[in-house]
Amino acid sequence: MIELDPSLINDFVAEAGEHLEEMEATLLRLAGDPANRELLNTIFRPVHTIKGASQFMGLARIAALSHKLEDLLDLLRQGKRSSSPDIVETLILARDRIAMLVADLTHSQTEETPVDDLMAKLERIMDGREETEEAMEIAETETIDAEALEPPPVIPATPEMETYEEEYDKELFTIFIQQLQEKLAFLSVQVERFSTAPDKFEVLEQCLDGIKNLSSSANYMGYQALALLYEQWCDAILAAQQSVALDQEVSMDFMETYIGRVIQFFPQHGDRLLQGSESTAVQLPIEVAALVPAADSSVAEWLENEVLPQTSKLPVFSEEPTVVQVQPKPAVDGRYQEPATGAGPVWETEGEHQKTEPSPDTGERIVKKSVRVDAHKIDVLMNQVGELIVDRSYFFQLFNEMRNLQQHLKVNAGLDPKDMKLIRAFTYRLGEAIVSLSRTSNELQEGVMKVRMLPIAQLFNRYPRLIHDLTRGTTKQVQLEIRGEDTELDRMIIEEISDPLIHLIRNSVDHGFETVAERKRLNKPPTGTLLLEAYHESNHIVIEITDDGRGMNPELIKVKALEKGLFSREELERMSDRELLRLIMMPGFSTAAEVTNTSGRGVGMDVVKKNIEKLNGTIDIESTVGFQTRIRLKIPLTLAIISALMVRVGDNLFTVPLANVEETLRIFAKDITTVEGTEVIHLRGKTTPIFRLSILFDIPADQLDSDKFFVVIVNAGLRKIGLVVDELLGQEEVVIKPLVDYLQEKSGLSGATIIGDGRVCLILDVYELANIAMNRQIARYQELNLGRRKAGNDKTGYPRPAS
Amino acid sequence: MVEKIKVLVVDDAAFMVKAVSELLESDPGIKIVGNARNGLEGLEKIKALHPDVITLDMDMPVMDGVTTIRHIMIEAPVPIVVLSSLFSDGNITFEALRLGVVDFLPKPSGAISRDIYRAKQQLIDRVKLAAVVNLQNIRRVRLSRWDSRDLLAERYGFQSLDYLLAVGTTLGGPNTSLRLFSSLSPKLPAAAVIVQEISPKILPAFVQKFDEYVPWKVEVARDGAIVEQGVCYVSSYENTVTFQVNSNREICLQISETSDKPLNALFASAADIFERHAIGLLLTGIGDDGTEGFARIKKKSGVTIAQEIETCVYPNLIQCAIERQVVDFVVDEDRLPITIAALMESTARIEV
Repeated sequence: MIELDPSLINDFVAEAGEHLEEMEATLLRLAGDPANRELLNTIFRPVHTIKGASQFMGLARIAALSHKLEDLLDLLRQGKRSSSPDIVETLILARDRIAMLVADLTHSQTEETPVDDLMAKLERIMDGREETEEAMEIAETETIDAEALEPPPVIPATPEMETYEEEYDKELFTIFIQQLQEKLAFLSVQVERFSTAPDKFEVLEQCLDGIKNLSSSANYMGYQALALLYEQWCDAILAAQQSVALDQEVSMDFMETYIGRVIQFFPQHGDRLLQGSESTAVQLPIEVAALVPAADSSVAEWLENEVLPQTSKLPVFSEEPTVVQVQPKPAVDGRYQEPATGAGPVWETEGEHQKTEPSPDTGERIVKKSVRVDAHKIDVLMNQVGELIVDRSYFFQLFNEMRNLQQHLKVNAGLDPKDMKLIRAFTYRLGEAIVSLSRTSNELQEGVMKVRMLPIAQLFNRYPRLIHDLTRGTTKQVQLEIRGEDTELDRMIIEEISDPLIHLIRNSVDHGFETVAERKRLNKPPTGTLLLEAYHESNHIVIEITDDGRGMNPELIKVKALEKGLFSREELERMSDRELLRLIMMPGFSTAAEVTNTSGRGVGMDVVKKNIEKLNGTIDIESTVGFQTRIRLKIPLTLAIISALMVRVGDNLFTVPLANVEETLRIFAKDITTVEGTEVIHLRGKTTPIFRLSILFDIPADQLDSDKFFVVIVNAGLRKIGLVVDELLGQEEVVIKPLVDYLQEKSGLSGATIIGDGRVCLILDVYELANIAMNRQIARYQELNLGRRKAGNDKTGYPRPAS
Repeated sequence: MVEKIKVLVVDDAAFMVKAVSELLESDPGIKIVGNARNGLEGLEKIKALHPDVITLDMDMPVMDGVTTIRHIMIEAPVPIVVLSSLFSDGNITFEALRLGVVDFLPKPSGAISRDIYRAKQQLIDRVKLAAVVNLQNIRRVRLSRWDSRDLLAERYGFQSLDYLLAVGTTLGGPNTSLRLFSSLSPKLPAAAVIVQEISPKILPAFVQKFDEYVPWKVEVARDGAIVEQGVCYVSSYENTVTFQVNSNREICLQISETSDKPLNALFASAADIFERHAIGLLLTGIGDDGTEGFARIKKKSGVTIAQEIETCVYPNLIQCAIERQVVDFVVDEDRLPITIAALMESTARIEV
């Protein structure tokens, strides 16, 4: 290779980076639509450019690879080879490989990553040999499978026991096992000759040396439990030595026990290790003998012969010996996948940039223009603004008092009109000042909030690659559509919803979408569409995740819930479809028939729900069987200030977040009826349960037996309940001050706030309150029914899932 | 006089054996006890001669360097200094360092004559330091290629950059830092910078492999690189890394090719820019570098952590810092990831 001019290399790297980005973008689209000629044409250009430039630079590998890639793309776009998802996957691998080579250049000015395997693969595709080859490979692996697995005796390893297997350090592990075998054999010999040996002390010394040696290698390997065992062993020998020195009778039985215990650490290799010591006819404890799998030697041999530690997918060894899996992947040969995975992190960022292209005003550029401020400082500022809002309401209150005073002076004190005029003028000016203050403070609050805002693109832009990774190796095709990525929301909230969103997307891909074949059968477009949409709705941001997959069947959920004993049949019959759908968010619920790699263990949706509710948000599921599922997250724009309805119960003030308030009513005692122990009212033809806050919080109310009530209808998830209060005080902006955990948990309160006159006012957690109220009612109802149903609910928490 | 350090030279080229032996024996404290022409022979000689240190070539017939290291470490552990011209092969440098060689040096080349003195002194120093290594604490790094599916949230989640983890170590560092980062969550709201004793020549190849095996994104620290969350920037002890705020008000790295106490420079600069969000971490090493930097971090109310001496390959570096009382926490190596994560979480909670 010719001497490379460093500056030229930099130019090349920069330019190649751009082309590679373009390629990735197009390839990801192509993955959803492999036969699209236009896309193939689009990819052709950057490949060609890279080829030309690399040839000029004398970069042999990039040139060769891009040349092959160009040839293949040419065949594809001319229709001489038909494109398929497998081929697109290979194209992506080739792109990643070129990216790695370019990265090599930046690191060390030379190309290092090998390309031969991929070249061969590309060639095979061009010759149309790919399918048959893969089929053959699969056939081969299957025979290996069959041989290796022939009699798979299931040995359940003792659960608490640490056992050591190695996936990565195969070679090192083999050496380790070899040494272990030798030393154990050596120790067995020592044990045998112990009884006849003239110098027993010396024999024990030899053993000690051997074990110390083993101990140092166990330590090197990082096997701490094993090293500990060796330590105990050494102690035992030292004790034995002492006995020998005192001329006492010494039994060497403990040696066998220790050998047995060491072997237990290596259930896969027990055989080999035993062979070493067996020759000396050492009797092993029975439980150890039982642990040794008969068929394992073949596996071990097969392992030893395996000489491709880096490039081939090695069988994964775990507790059960049945896990020798050579996965025949229909989509991609596992061997070629590895470099791509490795390159993932390096090129991830590039992927992101590409995705910002459609909306040049968001993402990267915003970040670049931004000022880096310690988030803590903004939090402090936000807090101060919060206090300002409190002060503002204090001023409002003062203004009201001033007006009352003015009235008082006029009517009761009989001040003469001249003085009155002064006071009136002052009141007026005070009012003006307060209006101005409130305008400024509003703007300030908005401004500070905006500082904390980031476009959600920062989050969304990571998902195209996520979808791609999730669908790789499956028979599903999913394209991602993103809308409203420039919607802004609080940085803290972005952080908090990142995990739930990943989970929801993963759920959609794993459970929502059908396979291509299934979709074709159902007359749906073969590629599923996952729509991620974000938009503002008053003080909230709404994020919708919509898939056009198989939808959720309420009947199936019903069956599942019954099976799990979460609810009784009657309860389930009474539930609406929406309520049934919400059941999937209960802990321990999962309808997936099969647990996949990533989801289906039933620990996901309840966590998602909890996380969203922690943000004062709501989660809503809509689904049409066979058509789509839409999950709607509604989250307040900020966590610090909410608008709320102030209510009074007895002497206590409460705030209800306005987001939860549906309407307020005034009702009469005669409107209330009792159904199954719950008080309900009829609200426009619907039965709505009502709960008295005074009873829930056990505080004296004004007119408990009066026949007029104020009811606040609140929206708790998908059900509406009414809260009976003594007085409605009006709407206010309140600054949330968090409560300590032990006060907040299961209390039905989500925080506190300080109102204008300095009083502390608790903020209701409507969801929790509804849960508490419902559970109390259920409990009471059950008592009434003399426990017809065996306790399925406890009084305080969620219904207990059957274990 | 103290007993001479017994060295075994393993190299397939007779010339190199001779050259290296002469180089080393020019120091009165070192004695060459033998040589071997390949790994297998080397292994036998180790068992027979019990050298204190061996120098090992990588590219050899019969049994190559990496395999030899594996055998030595299991069967007859002895400190190894690798002398190889194969430094651009990431697989080899990475494997060797992962398996716990004391250092990986490029073979001295006579072509650049003014460097030969430095190279010679470096080699002698390394061999002497290798002889005093705490062999108990040399362990291989257990690795598994992290499964992208398991760590999806880690890769695609949003995390902010709140902290800077500045890691300083000299000799024996690559192995320890590798182990640390393979179990440290990349979800932490932090970026990391490692300055460690590693030849700049082998650094890029090493970092590339490093990147593949840990969930963090690992990069060579480059001048002007903007510091990002979840990224670990690695630099050689022969360069100095400091932080700077660029014209866009972003924090970026500044690299200069001098090496006067680079750990002090790193820690001090981290303290100045990140203030109480700077976390300094000292791992195994030789020298008294880093102590002053630690003092600066403490002054700016950052946190300083040191690896427990008992678990160090070389305790010297940390001893100095502890003696000067600039260390907040002294932590066992295997508890480092938990401690770091807990620190970031707890301080974050206090600030809310």
